[in-house]
Amino acid sequence: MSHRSSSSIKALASANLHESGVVSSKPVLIGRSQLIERMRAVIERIAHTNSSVLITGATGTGKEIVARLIHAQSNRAQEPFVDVNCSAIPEALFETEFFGHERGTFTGAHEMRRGLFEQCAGGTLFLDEVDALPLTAQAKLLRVLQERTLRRVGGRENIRTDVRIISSTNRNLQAAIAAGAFRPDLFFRLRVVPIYVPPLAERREDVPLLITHFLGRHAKRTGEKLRSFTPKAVRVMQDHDWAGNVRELENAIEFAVALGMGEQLDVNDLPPNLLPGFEFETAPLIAGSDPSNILRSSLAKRLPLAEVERCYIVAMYELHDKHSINTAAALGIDRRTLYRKLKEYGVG
Amino acid sequence: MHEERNRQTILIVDDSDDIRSILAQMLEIDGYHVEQASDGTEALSTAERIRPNLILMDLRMPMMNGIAATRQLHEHAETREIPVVIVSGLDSEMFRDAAFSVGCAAFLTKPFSTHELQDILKRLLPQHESAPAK
Repeated sequence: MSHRSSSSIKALASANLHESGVVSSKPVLIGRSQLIERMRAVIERIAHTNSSVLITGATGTGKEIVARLIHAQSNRAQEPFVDVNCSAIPEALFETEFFGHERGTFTGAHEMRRGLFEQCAGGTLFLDEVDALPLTAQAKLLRVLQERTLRRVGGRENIRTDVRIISSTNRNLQAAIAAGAFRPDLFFRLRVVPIYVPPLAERREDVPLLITHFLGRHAKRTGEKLRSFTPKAVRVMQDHDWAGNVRELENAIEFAVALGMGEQLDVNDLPPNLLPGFEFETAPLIAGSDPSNILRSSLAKRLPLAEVERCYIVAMYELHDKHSINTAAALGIDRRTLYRKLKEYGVG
Repeated sequence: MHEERNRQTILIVDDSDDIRSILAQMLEIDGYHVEQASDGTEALSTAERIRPNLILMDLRMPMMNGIAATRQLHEHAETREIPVVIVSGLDSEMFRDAAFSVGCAAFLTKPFSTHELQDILKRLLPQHESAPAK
């Protein structure tokens, strides 16, 4: 299953630290930048309404935290918050997952089952990656949102729904509409309140606060002593582009606290891709030659296909003790092709 | 019997005396010459001085971790061709990706068998020079 109930949310929320260091029972947005302050004000203004919210922003920016925060500040805070990743629900299961089914509807349906809408009655349903819903599912969802009633699969009774919908996407839904992949009527129904979560690179001034937050949370979770970063390491993190946003920063800090052994963590403790002038190494791919690692390293290094092919062929050649017939057979290519390629690579 | 001049040198870098000692015994039985360093900083100076054929590098060490040390080894022309095998008790995609991104040749997770280590050494070291002990 791809949705999480409010019990896990409570555990997560209680693990969060407020900026001031005081343990808070609510999810928190970390940051004092103008962009975050503005977003915080919007959340405060709309939390108490029942309006649907569409949260957009790149991956790792914290869209889910925004959703939880809206729920926590709403009149529904004591009711369930159910979070569902739309990309993880197969099209055939959409209806039973969302609307439930009656007993005996299909083989294996020994009992009546309530769907997500009924499970979070009175609460908030968070549709993560809403763009992943297939068009048929979009139509069914739209109908329930318009009519505010649903029917379980195999049921005859119309059941009233009272659910606030918050959805999120990291894609441009307008482009998806233009491409015919997303229904415009559903889009407008979901996006009564649009909230854009900015990438971390647009709010670099929040990086030190986030670092303090994640270090504090790590210390609390592990019981280890609270550590800090040197000013130089903080500067490196502030200057980094953070394509993976807050999640990447969080991972970088996990990396540093796991590998660094000093009380103060320094630049050398950070993941290598954060360091200025960092370039992915390529030579050991050829010299090091473990075919099973080549795909992984190549992806990490964003290598061009020709380079991946070269590394893989050379590695397989080495693995087969430079036996060309065996290598060609393992690669599924003609021996002459192998010769030609090895000659191109200067390998004999 | 193997000739001393033919023996390949492996530098073991680990802050644990016990691990270094066990690894050294395993490798010496297989006929390798072994040198040791107890942290990343010492690894850099030792590697530059003795130019080992291969380095077995722990991940978590004082002074400098194994990934930072591997990165620095690959930044210097004198040491950049030495294959580095990260030997780690920490196994996650995050550490593996970081290790490969700085040019490590293999990632070995503790605990590992003698056979796994031998396979990696066989793959990374030119076999015509190796001379396993009888």
